[in-house]
Amino acid sequence: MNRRISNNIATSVFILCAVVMIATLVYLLGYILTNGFAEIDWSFLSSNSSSFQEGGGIKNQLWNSFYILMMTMLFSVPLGVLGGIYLAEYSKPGKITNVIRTSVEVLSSLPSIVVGMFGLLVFVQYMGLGYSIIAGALALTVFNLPVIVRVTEDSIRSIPLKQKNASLALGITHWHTVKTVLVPAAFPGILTGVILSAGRVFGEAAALLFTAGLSTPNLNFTNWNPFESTSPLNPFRSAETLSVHIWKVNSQGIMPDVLEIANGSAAVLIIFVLIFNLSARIIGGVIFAKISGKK
Amino acid sequence: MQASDLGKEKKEANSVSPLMDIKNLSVFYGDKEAVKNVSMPIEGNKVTAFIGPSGCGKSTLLRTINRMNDQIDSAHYKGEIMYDGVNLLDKKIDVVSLRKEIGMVFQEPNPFPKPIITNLTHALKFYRTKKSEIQGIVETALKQAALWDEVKNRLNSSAQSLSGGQQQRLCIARALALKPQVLLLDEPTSALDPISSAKVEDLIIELKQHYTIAIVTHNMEQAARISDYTTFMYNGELIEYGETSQLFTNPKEQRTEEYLTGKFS
Amino acid sequence: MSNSNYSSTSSSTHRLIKNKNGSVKRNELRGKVVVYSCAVLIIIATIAITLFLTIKGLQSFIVNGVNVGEFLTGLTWSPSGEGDVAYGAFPFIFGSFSVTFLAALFAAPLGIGSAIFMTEIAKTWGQKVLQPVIEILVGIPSVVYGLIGLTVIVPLIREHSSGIGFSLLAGMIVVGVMILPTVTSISADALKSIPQDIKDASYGLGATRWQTIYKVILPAAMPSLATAVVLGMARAFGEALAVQMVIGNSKALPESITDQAATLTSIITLSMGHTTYGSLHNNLLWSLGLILLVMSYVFIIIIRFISSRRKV
Repeated sequence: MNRRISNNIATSVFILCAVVMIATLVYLLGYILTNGFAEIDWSFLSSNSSSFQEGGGIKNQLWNSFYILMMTMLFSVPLGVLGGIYLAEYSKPGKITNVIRTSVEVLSSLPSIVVGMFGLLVFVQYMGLGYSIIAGALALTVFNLPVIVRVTEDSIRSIPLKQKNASLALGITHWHTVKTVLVPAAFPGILTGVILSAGRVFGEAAALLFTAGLSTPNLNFTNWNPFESTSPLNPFRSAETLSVHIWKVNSQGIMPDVLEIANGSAAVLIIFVLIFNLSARIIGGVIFAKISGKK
Repeated sequence: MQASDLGKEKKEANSVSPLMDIKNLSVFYGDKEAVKNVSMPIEGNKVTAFIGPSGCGKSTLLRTINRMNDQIDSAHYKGEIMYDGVNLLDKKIDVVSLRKEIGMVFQEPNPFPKPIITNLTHALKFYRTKKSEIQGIVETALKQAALWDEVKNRLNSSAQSLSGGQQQRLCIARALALKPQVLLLDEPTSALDPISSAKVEDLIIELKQHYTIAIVTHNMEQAARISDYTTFMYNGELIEYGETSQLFTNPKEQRTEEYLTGKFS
Repeated sequence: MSNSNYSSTSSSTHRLIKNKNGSVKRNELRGKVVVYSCAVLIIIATIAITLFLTIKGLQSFIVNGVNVGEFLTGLTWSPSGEGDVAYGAFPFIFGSFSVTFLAALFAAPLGIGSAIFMTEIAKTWGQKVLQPVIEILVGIPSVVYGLIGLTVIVPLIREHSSGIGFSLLAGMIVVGVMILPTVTSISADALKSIPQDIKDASYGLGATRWQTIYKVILPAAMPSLATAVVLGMARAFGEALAVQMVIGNSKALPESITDQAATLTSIITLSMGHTTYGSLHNNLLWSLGLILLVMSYVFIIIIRFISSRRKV
């Protein structure tokens, strides 16, 4: 009898844990979306932010977030995929492989504020890039690289060995086998991981405070020459992203509608993160169905 | 080399040198000796079968010939495999060219999950075969593998839509497209149903006119049906090598006889 | 019989012997060069980060002559004050460790409990519902957690305590919720990897589910569960913005859990932009950053230690 009772109590406790977890998510999303949706309208998305008046928008921040995201991916995906290929295919057990594994582990466990400090020291100061999109993207590359490396390694390792053998036994070089057999087969896994990591990069703020900066110059959205200072494409200008904006208005904002702006921005941020998350799931699911459907 | 001199010493057959000569070959995985001091010829344009209980080293031996074992970090070799004047185990051997010339088909059909045609052109494109030649090579290879009639109208559909037996013949065609000298078949029918197996067996008999074939099989009847020479291996050692008709009807070694009569497996 | 239709080239080289200039060889080499250089780049990046931050973090001790002991144990932080300059970082070190441990105290039972629910109690339901919930929670940016902490948790604490709401407690709750999904998903992986036959043996002896979990599953998974919690703590220790938004950033040692406090990260976040590069104050911030760097190595060593015990 006693055994039964303790068993039931324990089961209820575990169920409670799961309920707390789900409730937390529902509450978080519900809170952000209900509070934020009221603030989102076209003018919020399409107007410039204001530093002390009411009614500022997030146009530049939104643009900056996507621009930095794109540039980060441009750097981190090729590097990370090649690093993952090294670990999955070229590494032999030994010292060098250990050093690389440890490096990836160190990079992935560095607090993002530390990555930001490194960016400040090396990209902003020593390389003289100043607070800029490119410095921010380089810092986020450090932050994102280990994720892509791991996703690539796992995806390649999950491909059946018989595929690799098939190609090698035809007298095809290891590298060509990697390029034409392994990477295409691992592509769905890598793509899913890359999209998920994009959501993480999109929401990251701490690494950007000291690298991309806290402000955006006046942008002229009719000027697409990347070498001009007011061009949205200029990678050497400072850029406040959406996440940084949320932090900034809360800790330094003096406009009367701080809370509204923060809530609206958070809702937009969350919506994009959810879109990244969902599309990763859908793409993963579609490709999985394709493979198991044998067609 | 019409081997009609039944039951003669191997040495004598060597007077016309075989296509490939395995000399004192030992293969190790770490400390474990998987193949122990094996010496035997592989005759040109013949089918040589390797039989023996699982784990006897027959697959390892086969995978040593085209150096697929190099992928396993702990694998190393002793001895020689002489082929066309070179030792295939030499460090200077270019394993990529070697594998192109000595093709291999695996136990489980492993077509690339791509269109049928791409399976054949994968290696041809890597070797920069002229576009004008590719079409002809593909057709010849598929015909040689007795698959042409079944797939000629759907070369662009996925190889995974084929049946297991068709997939295996596609894998054979894929190897043939490279015009190899030798084909290594590692239990090519063990994953197939009896009808598909029979087709692959017929194919092997056809192919020996143009190719030298070494086949590992766990199926003794299959070895008896299709091979000219048979090697019986046990526990990494070569117990007996001889002409198939002789080895099956009149084995010299007691262990061979015991294996053939099903006393152990 | 070896009807070599490959004409052995005029030179002495055999077609099967490696040829350094062959296109095949070049193809292989090109791939190796690209892949190896990326691997080397990853090593260089890691060494560069460690080296640059260490050198920069030691400046205050070497150039400004700050006493290491005083820096680590001193209670007063006033590095740019006009009168007496004090650089005691202990309140921040204390704050970081408090937030980390309190958050772990909150997230470990809840996370492991949820993981047990997912893997032992409701497997299909857990996979279908809890797995996506965890993934979405992991993906929520830390500034959003901070914002909710600021607008929900802080007022809540203000109402129920004497303080102003910004507090160690608020930081702990926010960070605890943030690391919860991390702890849960790694714990769930650990529990899933326990072989079914161990569990079956226990059920076969007539043990209840709770007895099986308590006596068999938890002990077997313990090192991996510990790894999950340590990874969560590592994340908590390095979290910056969410903590900074709710903890109050007081430079004094907190007297109670509802008191304002500060962490290493929150002070860096707050002050880095307001100090002159190369000044004592600025150099001290880099020293705080060095503590963060050292701690992330310490966490890696702890995780390595735990997993090495798992193999034995």
